[in-house]
Amino acid sequence: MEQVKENIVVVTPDNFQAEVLECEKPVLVTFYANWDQPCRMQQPALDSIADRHPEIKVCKLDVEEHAAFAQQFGIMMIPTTIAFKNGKRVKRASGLRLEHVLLSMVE
Amino acid sequence: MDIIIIGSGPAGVSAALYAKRAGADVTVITRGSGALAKAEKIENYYGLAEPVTGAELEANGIAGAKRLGVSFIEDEVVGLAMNDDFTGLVVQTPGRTCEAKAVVLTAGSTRLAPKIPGLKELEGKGVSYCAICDAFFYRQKTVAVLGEGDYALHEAEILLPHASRVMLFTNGKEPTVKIPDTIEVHKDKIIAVEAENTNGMERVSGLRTEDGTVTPAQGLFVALGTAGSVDLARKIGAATDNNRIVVDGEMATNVPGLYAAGDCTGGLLQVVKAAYEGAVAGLAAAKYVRSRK
Repeated sequence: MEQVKENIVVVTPDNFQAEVLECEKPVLVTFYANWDQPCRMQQPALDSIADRHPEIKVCKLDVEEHAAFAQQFGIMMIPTTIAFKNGKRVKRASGLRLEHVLLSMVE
Repeated sequence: MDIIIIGSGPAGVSAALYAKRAGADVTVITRGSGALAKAEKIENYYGLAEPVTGAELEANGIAGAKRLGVSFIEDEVVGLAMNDDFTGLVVQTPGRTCEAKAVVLTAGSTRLAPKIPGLKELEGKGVSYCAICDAFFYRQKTVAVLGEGDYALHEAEILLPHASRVMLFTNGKEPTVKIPDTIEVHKDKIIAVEAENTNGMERVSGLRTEDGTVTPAQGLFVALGTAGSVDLARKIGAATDNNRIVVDGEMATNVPGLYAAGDCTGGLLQVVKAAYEGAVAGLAAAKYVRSRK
C-alpha cells in the first residue's frame, strides 16, 4: 500500500472530521499497515472502487502511524474497513474483502 | 524451488503431475492422508472397472507422481507469506522454511470453527485468525491462542515478542507438541468468549471455561488442529468468501503466484472436480514460473 493513488484520500486524525465525518458522499475508510500482506492485497479493490465509483469516497488510515486514533474505532485486525454515511458508521468489515462486498457496505 | 504444492490429495497430485510434465521442478508438502483416504468405496470416478477404496486411489496417485519425479515431503505447513522483495512465496513448517516461485494450495476444506458463543461475533474485535497480521494490536496485552498442535505453537511464538503474556487454550485436548515454558497451557474447555463494552465498542475481555472461571485476555487467536488452505490463504491476503478461496478460471488467487484447487475452492467435494482443478492449477503455475525465468 505504499503508493497511494490520487483519488484515494489518506486520512489522519487532523483531517478525519472534514474528509470523513463531514463528507456528503458515502465514505469507505480502510485501516491498514504498509507491512501487512493482506492489506497490500486489499489495495486493488480500493483502487478499482476509487476509479469506477466517483459517488463513493475511498480513504485509508495508517494504524501504525495513528495507533491511538485507530483504537478509538476499536481496530484489532487489519485490514478493517468501516463505511460512513453522513458522519455515522454504518457497516464494518474485518479482514480482506472483495470489491463487491466493500461496495455493498455503502449501498 | 519452482512450485510447492501443499496437500497430496487428488487436487495436489494432479497439480504435481501436470506441473512436472510441463517442465517445472515440483515438491509436494503433505501431512499425510486427507478426506479421500476416509472414503470407503469410490465407484463414480472415470476408468474404474471395480470400486476402489479412497486410500488405494490416493496411494496410487502418489505412487504415480513419484514415478514421474515429483518430490514429497511429509511435514505440516504452519505459515505462508511473500518473501521480502515480493518476488516469491515462503512456505513455513515447524522445522523449515522453503521458498518457491509458485504455490498451489490443495490442503482440503477447512473445518468450521467450534461453536463457542462469542467467537464469530467478536471476529475483528479481539478474535483473530492471523498472528502475523494482527500481533501489532496486542503489544503488552494478554492474549490466548486456541489450539493444541504445531500450528497453534507457531501462532503463539509470533505473539510472544509483542504480548505481555501468551496462553494456549487447548479446549479439552492434550497438546500434541511440546509447549515451551514461556507459554501457559490451559486445558479446560472454553464455553464462551467474554466481551466488555467501552465507549460503545465491544472487545474481547476474557475466556470463560467449564469450571465457570473467566481468564482475562484481550485477544484470542484461533489455530485449531492444522492450518487449512483457507487459514493459509488468509495470512497471505488471498481473498476468501464463506470459507472458500476465491479463484479465477486458471485457479489463480489474487496473490501473484498463488493457486488453489480442490475442496478449498468450494463446489462439488468430488475427486473428479479436484483432479480437474489440480490439472488447471498445475499448468497455470508452471506457466507462471516460466514467465518469471
